[in-house]
Amino acid sequence: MTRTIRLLCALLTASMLLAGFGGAASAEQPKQVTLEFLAPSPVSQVNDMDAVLAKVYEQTDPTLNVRINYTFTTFDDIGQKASLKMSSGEPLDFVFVAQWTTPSLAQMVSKGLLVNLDTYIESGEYPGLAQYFTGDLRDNNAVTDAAGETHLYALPFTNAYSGGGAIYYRKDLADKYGVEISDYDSLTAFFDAILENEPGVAPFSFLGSTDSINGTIADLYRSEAYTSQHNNFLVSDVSIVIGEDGKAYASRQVFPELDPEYWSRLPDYRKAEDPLLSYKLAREWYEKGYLESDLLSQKDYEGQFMAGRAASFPRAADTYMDTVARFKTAMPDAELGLFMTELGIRHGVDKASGSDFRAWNFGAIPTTSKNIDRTVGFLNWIFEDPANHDLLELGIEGKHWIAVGEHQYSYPEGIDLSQNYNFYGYVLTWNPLLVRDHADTPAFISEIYQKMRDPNFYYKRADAGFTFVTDTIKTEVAKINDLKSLKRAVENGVVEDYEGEMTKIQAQYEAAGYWVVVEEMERQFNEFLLENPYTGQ
Amino acid sequence: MRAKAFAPALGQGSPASTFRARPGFLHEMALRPSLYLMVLPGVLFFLIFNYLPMVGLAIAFVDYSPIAPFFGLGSRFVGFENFRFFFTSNEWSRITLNTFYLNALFISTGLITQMLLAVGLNEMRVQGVKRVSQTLMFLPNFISWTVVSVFSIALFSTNEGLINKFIMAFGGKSVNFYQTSSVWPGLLVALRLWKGAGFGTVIYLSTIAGISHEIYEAATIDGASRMGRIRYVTLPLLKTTTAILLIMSIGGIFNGDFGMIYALIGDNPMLRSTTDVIDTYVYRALRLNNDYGMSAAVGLFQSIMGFVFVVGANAIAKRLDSESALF
Repeated sequence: MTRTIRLLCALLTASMLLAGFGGAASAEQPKQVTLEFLAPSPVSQVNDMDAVLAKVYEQTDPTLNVRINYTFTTFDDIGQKASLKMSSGEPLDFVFVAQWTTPSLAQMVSKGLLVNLDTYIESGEYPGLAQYFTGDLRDNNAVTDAAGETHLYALPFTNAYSGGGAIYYRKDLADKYGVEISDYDSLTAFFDAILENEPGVAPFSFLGSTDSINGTIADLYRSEAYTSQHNNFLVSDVSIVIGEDGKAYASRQVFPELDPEYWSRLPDYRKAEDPLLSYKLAREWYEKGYLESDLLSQKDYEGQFMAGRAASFPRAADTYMDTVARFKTAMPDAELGLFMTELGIRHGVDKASGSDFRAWNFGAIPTTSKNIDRTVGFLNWIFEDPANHDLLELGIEGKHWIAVGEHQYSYPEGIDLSQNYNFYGYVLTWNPLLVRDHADTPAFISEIYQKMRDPNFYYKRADAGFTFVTDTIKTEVAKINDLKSLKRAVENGVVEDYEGEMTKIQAQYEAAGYWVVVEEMERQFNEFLLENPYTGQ
Repeated sequence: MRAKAFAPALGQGSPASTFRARPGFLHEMALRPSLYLMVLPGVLFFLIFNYLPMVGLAIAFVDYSPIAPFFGLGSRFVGFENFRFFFTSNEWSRITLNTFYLNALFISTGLITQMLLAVGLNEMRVQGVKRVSQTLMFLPNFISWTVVSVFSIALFSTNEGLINKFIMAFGGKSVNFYQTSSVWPGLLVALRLWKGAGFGTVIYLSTIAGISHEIYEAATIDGASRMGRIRYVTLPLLKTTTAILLIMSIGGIFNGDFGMIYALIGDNPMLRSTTDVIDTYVYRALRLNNDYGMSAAVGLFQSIMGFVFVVGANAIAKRLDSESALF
């Protein structure tokens, strides 16, 4: 026993001495550390990652001397894995987080799990971060912490200010039946042609197991790109409208159109409509067969489309190149079309589309990290020089990609794309100022992207920057979360007597304490409006 | 035995002799070290994986934060606050009943089918047929519920489903399975039996294999027919096994089979009234909150109910037939 203890002591002393000498030996090059990064990814291993990282280390070794160990996981369990790693004390230096992860970015910040990056960025020691995470991008992505202070706790990774809502459709079929999709009527004419001529093909498939479609249908039907009076929106499942007095009113009705107080504050064009327009249209789509009969169980709508069992599906325009590539593999003889549902982009009208200017993906440093300075140093290195950024995002120039001008790239000839470097930039490198598109991107898509990346194209949503703090009402929030999916049957036109169903759902919400949530939301939002008044956008 | 033989030699009646006649636990261990050494891995296994994690039940009483000391157990104590969410909801009695009802259906149909299948397999005389049918019955057990859910869509979907195509071919009107909640308890039972019953026959088959041939021979001599032998020999001798299997499954009667129900039903609001169980409710309500405390509170409730039912079922079994009880 004593011998073991002696041996342990000797080992400990030796390692302490070595560590001390190591530090003293080279003041410039710090001791090497491995930084643990955790992120979601569609692939469990990135092709050629080691070769790219070797290039990175060539440059970073003299000053940073870090090794990066990336652990990739799936999108649905990233939040849980991150919090488990933190609670069990596993080393974790950089973690992917977003408003849609569980726990969300706001929840992590309120529990003090993430490092405040403002102090680093403002210190002047990290010019790369200071240059690219500043101004609106910084302000719109800052989060309020438990002390009520708002700071940048996570680096926002984004390429655009919206995803660009769109419907992808079988252009070959539209051409076959002589339909050119440009508005609501031509879209439904396309659906009719499919129903009539293509048995076994659903006109439109979407993620009915979690999403609702009535809002999109109503927007398509209205088709006008309004540029002002965007005074109503949904925040954490509560419908809010801002009245002429500049104060927010949160609808007491789960289906807000049924609340006269809410209705009276809506813009005139809405008040001229039938309050139940969107539900009626959804029911019409369902009855006519535009929507799938079993849509409430639909989990793989894109698979339906790619297998030729659906003629169209909704997806953001920002994934166009990726979708085209998969479509070409799945259906080599067919043609893919894209129809913008985001009206501002479709009509090319400024300030008709809203954005909260928040990214959809973030990366943050856990407070439990032992290497905070080194991690910030590495992040700074990425943004210090666009070449560093491109190396991590696209791989080794000449081997994995070729630069085409300043803002585009292409692939070297004869390259096997399935084996090429395939790192997903949204977990580390995306930034609106550092985007490169593939040189083959069609002109009409490039035009759409241009708008999506132009902050002046969008109006700022009145709820941008607002976070609903639910700590005091979390029991009611949990009970209401449980009821959310009941609305889906009505919003997707599945229920024949939708008005009767709306009354039933309202009663269930009220029994679960909905009004407590609504009143708290209204209070918090009005407080928010004092600092961020509504300006008529 | 040993103590009994030993006692008279020491002289009965004296306190000292009584003490020595019943050696303490440590003494017993010292006497048979190899036996206790053999049981050690098992004891350690249950201690580490079943008893130690019970410390985590404390999460049900705190406002959990992953960076609080002691793996988050040092978070702020909130008493029974985490239980409020479940027990103040309008749903809790309905989903608790649903969970109980569905599991009772699964357990009862499962045990009966397994027993009948085992008896049937045992009576098969042609070895080849027996093996093939056994393999075919076992196979579905290795298919995950996610894959079964794809089958079920192919079977039950309104326009393209096999069953509806069949109904329509005979001039019937298609059934919208994914909007008709009343059919789902039956469908769930059927799918579960198809998937699990074959594999569940293993224990029954081994019990039947253990029944002495002499009993069957005696029955045959007494003039019992084949059905008679099944009725009066095989089935009564399966009683103890059935009771033990029943008591063990009752322990989980308040734990809904999330893997199965979520894969087959998902979050379909039209099917909720008959298929919603505690586990799917908790998932829906807390998925977005990430509140470990509230989830742990519901888990604790399920465990306590399961415990009460196991002890209860065991007591009933003991009263009816002491050999059928588990403890």
